[in-house]
Amino acid sequence: MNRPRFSLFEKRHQRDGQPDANRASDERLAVLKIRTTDVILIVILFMVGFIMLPAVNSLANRHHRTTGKLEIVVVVSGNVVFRHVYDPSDEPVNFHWDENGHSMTIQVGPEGARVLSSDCRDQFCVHSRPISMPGQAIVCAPNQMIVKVIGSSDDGAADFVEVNGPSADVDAVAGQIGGYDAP
Amino acid sequence: MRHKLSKMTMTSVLIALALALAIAENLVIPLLRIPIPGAKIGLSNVAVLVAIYFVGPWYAFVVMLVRVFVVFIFGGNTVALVFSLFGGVMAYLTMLILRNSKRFSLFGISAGGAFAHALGQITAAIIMTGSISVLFYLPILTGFSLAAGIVVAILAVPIFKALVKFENSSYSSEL
Repeated sequence: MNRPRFSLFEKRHQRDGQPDANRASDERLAVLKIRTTDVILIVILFMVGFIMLPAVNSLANRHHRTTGKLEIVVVVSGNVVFRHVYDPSDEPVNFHWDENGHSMTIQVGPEGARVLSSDCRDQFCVHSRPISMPGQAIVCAPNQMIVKVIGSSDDGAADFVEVNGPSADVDAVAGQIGGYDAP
Repeated sequence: MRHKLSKMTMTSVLIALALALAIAENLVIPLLRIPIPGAKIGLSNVAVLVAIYFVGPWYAFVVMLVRVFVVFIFGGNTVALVFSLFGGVMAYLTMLILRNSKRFSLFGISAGGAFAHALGQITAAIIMTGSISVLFYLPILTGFSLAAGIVVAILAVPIFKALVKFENSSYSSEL
């Protein structure tokens, strides 16, 4: 490499053969090597994300003001198509939804609600774990379907509004919100 | 005058780079089928990183801002504008703070910026939907964003090396 004369964007006084002429270049090269502090920072940030999960869960539970009675709600394109009071000791209940050439089967069983089958290509909703905690949801974006557990029937109406909000930004993907389980 | 002109030229080149990367990313991301809504690698952050180190913090801010607004003009999605504006400003501020602390390398700075970007987007989502249900995305989104930040840093390394080489070569003496 040629002997450094001066840096491209450095101040003019550094140009003429001063010892620190290529100090900026040195900083830019030094910054390319990973440091211990980076690893510490990344690990801490990674943990912060996951430590917040229980906090978020408890916040969501308080938000939904659980009265002991849980309800499973299925929302398709913003419309409630199915409501069912969830009791783990009950017999499994199947709900089949068929509309506009899309069909899905949702089962409410002892472990909670899950999507038994769906005609979407991703099948993320089918592979999602059953949901039984208030605030949890399974989203199937291709079919614009959300299965959600809500705490009490009273604030159910407000819940549907909020459940539709984030889905506006969801496109072509489906996942499970809360207790995420990669398929 | 020359000095400022070269900075402005460099900034416009970096804006073009940021836009090209943002558009390329929007084309490629749906094909990858990442099962996280709203997940992006944030490739255009490479341009912001280069601008912070080679041009100056304010020029980097301009690169970020112009990128957000031009993508909005072509995409026309107001919701996406608010999301990327929140995320972009948060990421920019975080990267600047981490850079000025002089304790971190490109990897830490980029990962921190990506983390802040995810946090900013979640904040925007909470404000816009008035719901905290979005917070459920936080762990998976931050985990993904850290990985994305490291990828961005890896991509920025050869660009940094090439630019430093250019700076020290005889070509740059005319600028």
